[in-house]
Amino acid sequence: MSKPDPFKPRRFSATTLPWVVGAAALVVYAFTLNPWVSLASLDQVARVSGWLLDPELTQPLYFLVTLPLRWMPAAWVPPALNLLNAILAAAVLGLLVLRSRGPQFLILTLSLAQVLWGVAFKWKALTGGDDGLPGIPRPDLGLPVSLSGVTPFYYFSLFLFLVATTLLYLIVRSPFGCTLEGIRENEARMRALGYDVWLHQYIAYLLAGLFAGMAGVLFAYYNGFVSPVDLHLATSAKCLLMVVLGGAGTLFGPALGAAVVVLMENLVSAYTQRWLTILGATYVLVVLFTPEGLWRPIRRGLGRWLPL
Amino acid sequence: MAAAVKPLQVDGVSRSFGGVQALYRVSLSMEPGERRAVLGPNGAGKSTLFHQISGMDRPTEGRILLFGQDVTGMAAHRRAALGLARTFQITHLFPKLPLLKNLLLALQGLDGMKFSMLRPLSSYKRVLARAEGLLDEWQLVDKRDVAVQDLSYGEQRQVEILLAMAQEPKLLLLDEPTAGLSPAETASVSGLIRDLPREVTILLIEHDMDVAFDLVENVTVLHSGKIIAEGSCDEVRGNPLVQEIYLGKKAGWTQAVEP
Ligand SMILES: Nc1ncnc2c1ncn2[C@@H]1O[C@H](COP(=O)(O)OP(=O)(O)OP(=O)(O)O)[C@@H](O)[C@H]1O
Ligand SMILES: [Mg+2]
Repeated sequence: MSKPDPFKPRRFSATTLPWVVGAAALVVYAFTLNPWVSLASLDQVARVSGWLLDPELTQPLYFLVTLPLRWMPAAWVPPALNLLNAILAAAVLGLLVLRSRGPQFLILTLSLAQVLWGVAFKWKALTGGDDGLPGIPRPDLGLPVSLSGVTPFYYFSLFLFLVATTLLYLIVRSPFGCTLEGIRENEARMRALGYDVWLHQYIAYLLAGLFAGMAGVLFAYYNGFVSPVDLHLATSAKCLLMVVLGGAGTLFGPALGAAVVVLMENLVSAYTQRWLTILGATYVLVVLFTPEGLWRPIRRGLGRWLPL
Repeated sequence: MAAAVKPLQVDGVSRSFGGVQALYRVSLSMEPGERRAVLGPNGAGKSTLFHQISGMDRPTEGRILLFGQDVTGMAAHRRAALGLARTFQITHLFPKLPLLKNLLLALQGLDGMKFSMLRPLSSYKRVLARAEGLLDEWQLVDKRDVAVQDLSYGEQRQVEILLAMAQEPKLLLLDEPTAGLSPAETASVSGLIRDLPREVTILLIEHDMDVAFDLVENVTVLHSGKIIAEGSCDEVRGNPLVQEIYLGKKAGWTQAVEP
């Protein structure tokens, strides 16, 4: 079997673009919940959970989880399990990374992702190693149309994107969202005011795991394929770029950033193999010239008419 | 126990940072409703003492009791739940958030609603009404939507106290509430402290002796991490050791308020 080029962008067509953007935005949204919660690792977590789609692996889990999940149509179980798995992974990783702060948090997260990548790459039995796991079918969720077609899957993803966006919109405005904002602004004062800072960050991390898991599951179904490459630092860097480009700490910024990055990736790769170089250069340019991201200036412009 | 529970008992607390002994066997206790000042020159260990009491830092030895309960190993947020509030020497607000949101964060800190995720904060009418009421009381209503970083420094120092008072504490620690204020602003902030409810026990750090003596009945003097004098304002003012160490020297903390 020929080795897939690890950094070659996924297949792409004009109709699928919006959903790719949507799924990427979902991952990135997770990041906005808490500036310390690096979506990078969570995205990776979600990708790992994609491997549970392998029927052989899901059998024993099926057995364990069928009791509580019996009410659920059988085809819903793998995606549900994957979501659960993403949250569980976030629960474990959260315990490790939330001991650190600021830049250390980021570095620790990225390092953990690299460790996972290394393990995944070597653990052929589980992950297929280099070759990844091809041939993942899209689930039959009992919807009127099959998700195997491009258009239904697009609308399905769009629907989930809207659900996730709405949920995040609500969370940002809720007391819990304001608490996270307060922690971002001044952790010591929050503790003095009676907030268990760690607990709130941990819950945010779990939520991020949930949303990233959603994106990861969609991503796996979209490609019909998962590979350890999805755990690589380059993927994390791409997601970080989406956040920074759009504007960290805003709700819609990362969605915008994701749209720009995905569009760019597909346009650029039509002409050159040097996508990674372009990615890095863009990162540097963004940090130099729009450190507040693309969304904030737009929001200021729209602010007169829209309550964003 | 017949006697009222002491809001604060510090029992032989030490804290060292490597070679620096910031606190050495400091003991101190307060009666309900008492107002006490902690005086001492720069680096005496005053803020370090506050960090031990509020749980921002842990002592290397000794015990701390709040309202009769041993809290030595207790996290800061749980001490807040017991009725302790504090302010910071260096203004600790949420600089980019509007004043109202700063206050709402203070109000929901001890309220279970802080975990609510799907309802907008602005729909909690009860909390909102309390915030509006407090802003009104503190004459800050017209600053409601201003990011606190854009308030004047004097106003920020005021908000520093407002956030702590919003917690409705039984014990309030004020770390140099008038630090960096002009004489006029100092007068206004000390007026504000004087008018706080009498039932709130207040421990305050103050550089300016005259400001402190105006607000409290008792004084504890720290020097190089040790308590060197303790008693009523007059006792401490007349204490020869205190006079020798501080009043003789041109120490920063004795700078007089302009008449
Ligand atoms: N986190 C820390 N690490 C190392 N040394 C510290 C730390 N915190 C305080 N110290 C040291 O402990 C001593 C007491 O500091 P502290 O801040 O308590 O003084 P202070 O009485 O509040 O002084 P000031 O009037 O300047 O606020 C100082 O020598 C200080 O350098
Ligand atoms: Mg101090």
